[in-house]
Amino acid sequence: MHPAPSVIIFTTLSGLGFGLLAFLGLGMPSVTGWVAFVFYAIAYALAVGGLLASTFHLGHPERAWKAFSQWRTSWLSREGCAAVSTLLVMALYAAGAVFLEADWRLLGLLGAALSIGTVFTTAMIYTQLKTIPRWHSPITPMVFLSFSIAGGALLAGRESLAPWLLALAGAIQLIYWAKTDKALAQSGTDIGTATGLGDRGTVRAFEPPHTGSNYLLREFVYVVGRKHALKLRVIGFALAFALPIALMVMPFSGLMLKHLMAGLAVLLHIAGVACLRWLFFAEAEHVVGLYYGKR
Amino acid sequence: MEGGQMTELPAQTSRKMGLVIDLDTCVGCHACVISCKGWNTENYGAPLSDQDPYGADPSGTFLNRVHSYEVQPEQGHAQLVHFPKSCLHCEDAPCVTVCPTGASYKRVEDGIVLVNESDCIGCGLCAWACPYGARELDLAEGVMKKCTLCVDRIYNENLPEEDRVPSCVRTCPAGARHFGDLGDPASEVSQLVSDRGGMDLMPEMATKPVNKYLPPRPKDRIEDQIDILAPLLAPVAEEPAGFLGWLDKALDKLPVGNS
Amino acid sequence: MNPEQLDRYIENGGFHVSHIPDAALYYKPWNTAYQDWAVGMGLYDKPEPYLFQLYVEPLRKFQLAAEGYGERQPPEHLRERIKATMDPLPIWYETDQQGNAGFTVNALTQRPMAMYHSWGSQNAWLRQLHGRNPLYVPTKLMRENGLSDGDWARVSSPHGEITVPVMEMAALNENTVWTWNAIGKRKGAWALDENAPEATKGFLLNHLIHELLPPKGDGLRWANSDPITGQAAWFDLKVKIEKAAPPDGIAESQPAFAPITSPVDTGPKDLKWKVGK
Repeated sequence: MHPAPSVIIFTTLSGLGFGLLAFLGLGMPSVTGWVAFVFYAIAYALAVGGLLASTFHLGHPERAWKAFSQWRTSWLSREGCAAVSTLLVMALYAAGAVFLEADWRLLGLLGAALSIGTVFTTAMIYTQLKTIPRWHSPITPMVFLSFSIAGGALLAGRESLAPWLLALAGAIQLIYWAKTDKALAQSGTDIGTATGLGDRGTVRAFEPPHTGSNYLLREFVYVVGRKHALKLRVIGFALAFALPIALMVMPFSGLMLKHLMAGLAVLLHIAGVACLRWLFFAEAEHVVGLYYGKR
Repeated sequence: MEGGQMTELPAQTSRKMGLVIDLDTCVGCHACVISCKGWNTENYGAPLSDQDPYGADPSGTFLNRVHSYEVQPEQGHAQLVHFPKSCLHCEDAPCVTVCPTGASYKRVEDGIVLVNESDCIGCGLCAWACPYGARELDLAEGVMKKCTLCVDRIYNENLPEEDRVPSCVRTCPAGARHFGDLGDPASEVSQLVSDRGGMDLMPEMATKPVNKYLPPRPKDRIEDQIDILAPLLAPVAEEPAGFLGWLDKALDKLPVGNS
Repeated sequence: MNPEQLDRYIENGGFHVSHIPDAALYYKPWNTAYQDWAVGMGLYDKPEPYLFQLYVEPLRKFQLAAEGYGERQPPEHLRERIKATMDPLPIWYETDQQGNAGFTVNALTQRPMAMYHSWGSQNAWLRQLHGRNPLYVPTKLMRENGLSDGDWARVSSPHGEITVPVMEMAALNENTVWTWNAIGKRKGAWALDENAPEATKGFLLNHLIHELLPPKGDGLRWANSDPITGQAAWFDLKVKIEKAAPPDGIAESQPAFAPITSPVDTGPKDLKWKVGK
């Protein structure tokens, strides 16, 4: 799949933003006043910024409001509804914390649940697609959720919890790769079933239907060299998990240094998640590529 | 064409209109490709556009494209098969349920899957969900385009009756495309499918495609050495009699131009 | 005969429709109704049904003359050729292979069907179907020359040499290569961009084929054409094929010529035709 920058920015930033909102809703940390304001500002900047970024890949962003209507059948619609609900509920909770020093526990819990729900609906958009065997696995939502929770813990300053959650997310990422690398081969879909000619012999794509490019080739037949992908996996993994964990557990002298390292961990984690998200799209094989002999 | 809850798939459709593509007869001339492009530049919805049409990297929106495949059996010669592909108007169309705005819908009266171009936000998720590459984003219009089964032809009383079929079917010079109700077992298309063993593409995707493909017929199957011409190559008598005698005389009578 | 012809044209906006009657629609070469209608329209002077003769008498007359019969005798230097080729029945013979030593692969071309679906005057759609043409090479020749899809090959004939992209085709006679006619274009031709794939990757076999057969050593060169019809003998082409590096690292089909300047501008960068409404 073509890794569209807008979609990568969206899933990376909003995953982090909603993760942070979940922790805030759970009262971890329980903050009020100006400190709360800063936390919520960051969370909303990430969540709303991500959502806005996603509208840039639409053909008609001005009609995006229509996307709330099909929540009965469409995960993308459900995601829109969940996101807006979360932002509204947490806005109320945030208002209470910032202006009234209040902690409306039930509202916070609701907000946290909605936050996680939003990340889940985002993941399901990709998971539901049978056309991309690599994504069509229960591990996909686990990847999204674990990333979001780990990143949220990091942003929320949960010093003892974050390293564990990062390790968990890292482990899930490794399991995802191990399992889904064989997904297309094991899916039972190949050029033989795509053309229906498979039982007559070996099928080979000969002349393409057009000598130039088209939407299908540009969107769905993105090729990453295996060595290049492997390098990016290592880099992404290091940035998103290994280095942040190291920075969090290493003993630093002085609060200032500790905070600085924690901040660095956050930045490295964001870069790593973006890299891994890029790979999530770039390595996804859409079965339509079979028709072009590109798998 | 209502909006609202249209991306729920209808539990049943009154008819299952679709195409039957004969892979045995298709010669790969691309007439159907161009006919479709032409019809859909003029009628339903925004015109199908092209980017850099006279340049170094031309590309454009087409609803129907013809691939070519070579099939190499274990024994015998490889065979070239031309393969037109357009929306299969699936019964269980994944492109309909993923659409967030309800722009993508399947009609109850005939099963045709369409895009309501005023509701489409061009998110492309329907194209992600379609295994067959039936949908393309038109870069000029920002909406998703797909085969409409010429819904603006098949019911159009302003057209003579023989033209009330999809444009691609009307134009195919090899007679490789057929249109009709695949839900009616007595229809011509259903008969074709049962006579020739019409097949689904990617059945494991569980989309239940309505369009069917007729596989190439078996060829070169004379097991024994049958020399069909042998009796005719036996020497003819000096004075031919019977049919040959008549033929000989008739040939003599033919004019031979300026002799 | 038709003194107001031009006035009639002007009166009708230069437009006329005349439908062929139903009975005259099919088997036109042998359909009396069509032939009569065509005479009425002035397409023929008189009915001209086609007659196919398997045994062609006029050719036999030429052959008899070459065998020595009759008063009209052919020029001596053509006698043997006439005797051999002007056979009244369909025959096949291997063409004169003089000069073809080492060139053993048949090379053919085919008109691309898809390029005939023209509409309007430009082929903006059709060039997306066939914007470039590879040389289709059978599996055996691909393996023998160490070629795979996307490689370049040097194809040479006694007359010339081209360097072109190849594509493997299994469903092909094992000693024949072929490509599409009329896709390859010179840079700048047809008011297309100079880097159009037709100019950089497309190619023609024309450079390998000469109008004349090789010199015969007697000062004569015969036409490289069919002796009966005069049709250019493109399908007699014999070539040699070998793997080549992409030409000059630029990877453009060779020979490449300097771009021509177009008398008209190139077309628009986007097409969004809404014809009709």
